[in-house]
Amino acid sequence: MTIAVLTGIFFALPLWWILISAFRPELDIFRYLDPLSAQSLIPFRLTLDNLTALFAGTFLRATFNSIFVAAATVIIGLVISVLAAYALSVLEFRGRGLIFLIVVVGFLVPFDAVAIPLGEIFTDLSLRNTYAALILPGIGNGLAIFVLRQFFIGIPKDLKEAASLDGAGTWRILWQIYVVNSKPALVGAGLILFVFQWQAYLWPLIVISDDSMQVAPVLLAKLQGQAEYGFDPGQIFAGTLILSIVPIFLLLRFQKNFVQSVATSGLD
Amino acid sequence: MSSTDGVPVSAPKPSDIRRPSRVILEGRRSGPISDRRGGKAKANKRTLAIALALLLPAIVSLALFRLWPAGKAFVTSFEELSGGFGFGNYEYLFSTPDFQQMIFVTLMFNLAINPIQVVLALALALLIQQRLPGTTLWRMLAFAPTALPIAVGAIVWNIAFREDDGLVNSFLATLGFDKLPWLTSTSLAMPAIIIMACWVGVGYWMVFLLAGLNEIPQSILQAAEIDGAGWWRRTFSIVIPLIRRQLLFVLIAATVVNFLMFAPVQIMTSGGPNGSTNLIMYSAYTQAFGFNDQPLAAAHVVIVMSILLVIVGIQFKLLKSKDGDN
Amino acid sequence: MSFSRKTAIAATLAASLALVGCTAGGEGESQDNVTIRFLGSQPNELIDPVVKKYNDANPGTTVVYESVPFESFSAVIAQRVGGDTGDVDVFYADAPRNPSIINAGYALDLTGELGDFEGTWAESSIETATVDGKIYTAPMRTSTQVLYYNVDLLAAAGVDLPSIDPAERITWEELKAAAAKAQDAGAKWGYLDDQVSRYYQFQPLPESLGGGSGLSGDENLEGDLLNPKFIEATEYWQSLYSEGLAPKGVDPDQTKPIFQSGQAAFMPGGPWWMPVFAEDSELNVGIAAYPRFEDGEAVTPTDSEHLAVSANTKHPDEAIDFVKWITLTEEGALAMSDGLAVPTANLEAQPIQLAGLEELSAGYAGFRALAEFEMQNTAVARPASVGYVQFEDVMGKALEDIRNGSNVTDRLGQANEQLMSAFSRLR
Repeated sequence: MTIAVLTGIFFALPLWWILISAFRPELDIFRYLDPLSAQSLIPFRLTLDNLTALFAGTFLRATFNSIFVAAATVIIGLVISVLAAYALSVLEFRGRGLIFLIVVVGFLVPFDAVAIPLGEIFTDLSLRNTYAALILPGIGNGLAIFVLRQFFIGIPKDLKEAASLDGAGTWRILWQIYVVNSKPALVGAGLILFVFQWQAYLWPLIVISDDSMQVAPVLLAKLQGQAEYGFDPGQIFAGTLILSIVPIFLLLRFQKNFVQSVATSGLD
Repeated sequence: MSSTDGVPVSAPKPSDIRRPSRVILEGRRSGPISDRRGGKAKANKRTLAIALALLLPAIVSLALFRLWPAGKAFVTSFEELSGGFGFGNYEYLFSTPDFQQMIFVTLMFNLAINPIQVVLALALALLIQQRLPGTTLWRMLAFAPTALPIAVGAIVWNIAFREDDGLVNSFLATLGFDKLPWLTSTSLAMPAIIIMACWVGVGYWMVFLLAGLNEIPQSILQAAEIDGAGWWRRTFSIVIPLIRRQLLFVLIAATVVNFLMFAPVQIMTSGGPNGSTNLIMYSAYTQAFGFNDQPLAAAHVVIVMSILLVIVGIQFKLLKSKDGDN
Repeated sequence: MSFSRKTAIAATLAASLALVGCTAGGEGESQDNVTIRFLGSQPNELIDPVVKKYNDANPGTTVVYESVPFESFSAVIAQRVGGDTGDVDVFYADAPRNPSIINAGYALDLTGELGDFEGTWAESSIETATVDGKIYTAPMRTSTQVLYYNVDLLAAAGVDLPSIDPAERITWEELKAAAAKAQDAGAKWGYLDDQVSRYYQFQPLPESLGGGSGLSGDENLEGDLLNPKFIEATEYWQSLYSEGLAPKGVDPDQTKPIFQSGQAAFMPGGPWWMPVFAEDSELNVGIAAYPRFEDGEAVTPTDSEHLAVSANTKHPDEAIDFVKWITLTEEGALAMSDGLAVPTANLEAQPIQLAGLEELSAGYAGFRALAEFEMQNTAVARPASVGYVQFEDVMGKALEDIRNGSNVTDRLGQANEQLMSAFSRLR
């Protein structure tokens, strides 16, 4: 039990510090770090200034952009991944291994390394400053395909055999046998797709120049300005707080899919 | 036991799967017998067509948004200063002491962090499995750091590791230990980065392992307990072998992520002190976005990816050799 | 949760439609109205009012300002101007980077387009804007450094307050002694560098002692870090940290809060902190002349952003007109310097701006005369070199390691080799 508590503290402390810093006047954030005092962890002076300053700008719009882009990526990405995973796990055809290799290499390529050449492609296609520019690079995710494919392999083949023997076509089988029974893998793949977009920084920076289309993490970075003119940790933490709400909410919503126990019968 | 190789989330057991609806079962009864002649060839062609149709969006998006720019970057890495193509950039890199150090640092970093993260993720997952009071809370706390943009996490830990007034040293001081020069010491900077990376990543991997743990039937564990096996014995002899594939998957995925990660270094140490945290990808980033030397940056990336491919290839072999199908 | 098939299909369709349909609001470019895209590294709230002023006075042109984070700025410029995306017309050009920007062909040749600017810009600013006799950028801002000190901490130590008179400026040696005394008397830190471990903040030390800038040769493409005076100056700087007078492990973002919370006795820094320090009622701050070595000359750092016009702009006339308004008119220069205490490069607007800063606090008396003197007499610009960016990076890392205790000669030797190696790729 002690281990649990200590580990919990390890994870919680920095989070707590961000939380209270979001509501503190800037100087207080750094004032009470040493020696360790009550004020290190419990703020006596609270303010909503950081939040109000944040909302005065385009942060809310940027947060909406982030959410929209991530949601669209997850939906489209899941569709693409499920189709591909099905083909790679269930169907048998020549060249299957080669294509799987493409998928694997696909997720090994570091995105930052291809961001610049990719940016040039988008410029040529006149697709800068569009939601398409933000969403498209995220929908093909080798890791998500991989996760789903491995899961599909685990679904007993005789189910498929039985269904096709009874005349079920590809779509039917895909949907009713595989997708419906793969909740955990769908959530896993969805998580991968989501995190990719939620963490995206370099790509939006390159491809979006219009503030109204920009995503939240980039906007937060712009608040920093140059070191000469100071950076505002209060606003950054406040922004971070707001940005964390979405993933945490999603986790709460979906966590039961990860932790099904043997006792549960069927998946709903 | 269902044959799942490297499955990160638990595969359904036959009893859990929703059976096809009655409609299908009672549908048209036509079997393969009637189209046996030429049927196989037809079926193969048809399968191929369907497969390609299903794969098309994935292949197009992967090819367009990953492989093609990667190819462009690969070609760029051979652009020489004089205007032609050649190995000049690679020669330059491998002859620079700084780059040689980078290779060493990158390998050391990954050799340390990947096993550490997997072990910690497993430990956490096991801990949470114990169903101690507040399980949901612990799960949330461990996962929450993943929700933050990694840059913010790096900023916070940068402050926490400050020698004079950082929270880490404040705690050490309260407990009676000496304050440590975390980010300014060549021997402590890398461990500091590893700690920070664990704080961010372990919760994420833990979630994948939890699902695997939950798949293990209680009956097996209970039987072992009745037979007198203690907690350690049960864990090492039963649990770990049963989630071996999930473990290997997490190892591979974590390796990929850690090989390509550099944001903490960028924010906390800038590769120092004395190059002790100078990761190859960090240098690639500086070359590309700081000095605008694209060919050199591309060469960095090709080298990193080559090393990564080799390592992941080895890990894949491990995965393959332990089970028959793939 | 039941997964309705219809919901999934509907969602996919909606997403696809959104993809196709959503683009950024187009900027109307009719025959008459020209849009100028202006890229800078400051936040929008600072620059938008300036841009609005120009737009109101020039109905045929609409300038739109876009903020790009500082660390990514040169990358974004390389990508957009170099990649000809067509959405950059005017952009910030940080003075020491001018040679590489010009070399890369990003900046439009402005020779003959700027009118008569002699006397409106300082000689040193014009020099930085000129390459091979042609002028490529318009100086917008410049900089200087002062020595901030905490009156209360010095009083508690019984230390004489340093003088604001440039003729009586404190020496680095005296400063070190005073900082030590202040610490003995209770100050947490005797000394603090504003932009610690950055070449900009460090340059005056070796220059003052006669060790040069660190670069030499015709094109400033040879490392010159190992001459005795350079090493001596660096060792002095290291001693401030090794003797515990200044804190290790804090980066430039964190130094000003430390001074402002009253924990440090001395901090050389730029005038940009003057407004914020003046507002802080708990901080008793004074300003003195920037230090020099006893056996050396008085040297202060200088320079800041210029403005460049993108080489592939489609509206050169309007872009140049805007640039001229910001940098050559008193009105534009003052607007640009509003809210940001960085000295403008415009010599007509500068005295007004500096006087305004001086009035912010009684402790700033004499600032304007000091700043003008320094910028005209002791300012030394950063070395002009196409390899400046690499140089700054190498120096930054070397300084940080030296600050943490690396042997100066060894580490500078290593840095010298790194420079030669990096520069070999530039010829």
